[in-house]
Amino acid sequence: MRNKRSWLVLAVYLAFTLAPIYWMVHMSLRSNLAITGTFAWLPESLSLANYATIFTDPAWYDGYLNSIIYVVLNTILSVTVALPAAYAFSRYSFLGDKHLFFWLLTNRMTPPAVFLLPFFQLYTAIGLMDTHLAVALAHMVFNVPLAVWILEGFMSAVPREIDETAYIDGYSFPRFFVRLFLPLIKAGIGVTAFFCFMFSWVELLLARTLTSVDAKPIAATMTRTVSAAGMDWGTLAAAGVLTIVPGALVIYFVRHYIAKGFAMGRV
Amino acid sequence: MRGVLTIALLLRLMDSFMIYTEPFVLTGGGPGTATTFLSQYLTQKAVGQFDLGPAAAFSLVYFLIILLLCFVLYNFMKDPQ
Repeated sequence: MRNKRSWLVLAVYLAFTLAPIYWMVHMSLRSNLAITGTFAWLPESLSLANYATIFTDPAWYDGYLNSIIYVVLNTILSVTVALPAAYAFSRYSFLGDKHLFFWLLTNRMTPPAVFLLPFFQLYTAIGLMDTHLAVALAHMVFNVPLAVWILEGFMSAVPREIDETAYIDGYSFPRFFVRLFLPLIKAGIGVTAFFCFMFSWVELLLARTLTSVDAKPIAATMTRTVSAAGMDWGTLAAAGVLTIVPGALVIYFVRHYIAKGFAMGRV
Repeated sequence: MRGVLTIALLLRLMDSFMIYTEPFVLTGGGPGTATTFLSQYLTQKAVGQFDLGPAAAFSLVYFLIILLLCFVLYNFMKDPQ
């Protein structure tokens, strides 16, 4: 009986979370006329015309390219910067380390809108507006603290004796860090990269405001689809489906480590 | 569980204060200003009307509100010992 009930709860939950995704896929396979005209649980005819529009129209696929460029740039930069910082927090104690560590979390607490104005002004002054680097750097303000928090948890789980043994065995510090230490926290790096990727991929406010043409992300493209011919529902839904794909791919690769990341209590 | 729940609630609280995407895409802040939340109001002020001084002050107050609420919640949920 109990087993049956928990199964029912799971089914309701799954239906609740998957229904919008199903509806998006469903819409992406129909034409605009059918979407606004008739209601149907299953698409009458499967057409990939909406997807073809996205892959042939530069206005659409440029959005994806821009998004991917700045998200990858941001993930690499964040993890590179956060690794030494997390190592320092996990291995050394220095004046004010606890306060500094907590201050990092308060950065995570600030809404993107608060940092919008400073970024806007600074980037205009030094000519970084509408570049991929601008968005990547802006997102680092939120991703680096999170990355340091997650990585610190994983690094503290590695016994300090390993550092000492490597030192006695004659490893120089950079060599030890890259050859021995990083492979030990592989899982942590994967989880961190995933969280950086996810934040940067869905963030709209900063990405939209700091770019205009050359680095316009897909999320911003998707908010401006009302044309003279009305809403382009089919293409919009196809773009939505394609936006889920990179996230789903990344989560597929780190799926075993995510739970561990949560269990370490740092996420 | 207390520690985990505290962190989960704190993160949720911070995240819900950051809401921007959903109202911006769905209603654009309308009808009128019924769904214009803090972050959207701030964006309009800063990059829409270029009221930079007031917008900067607004940013700071916005941050302080969140800081205060998190502080209150954290102290409320903290272990009594």
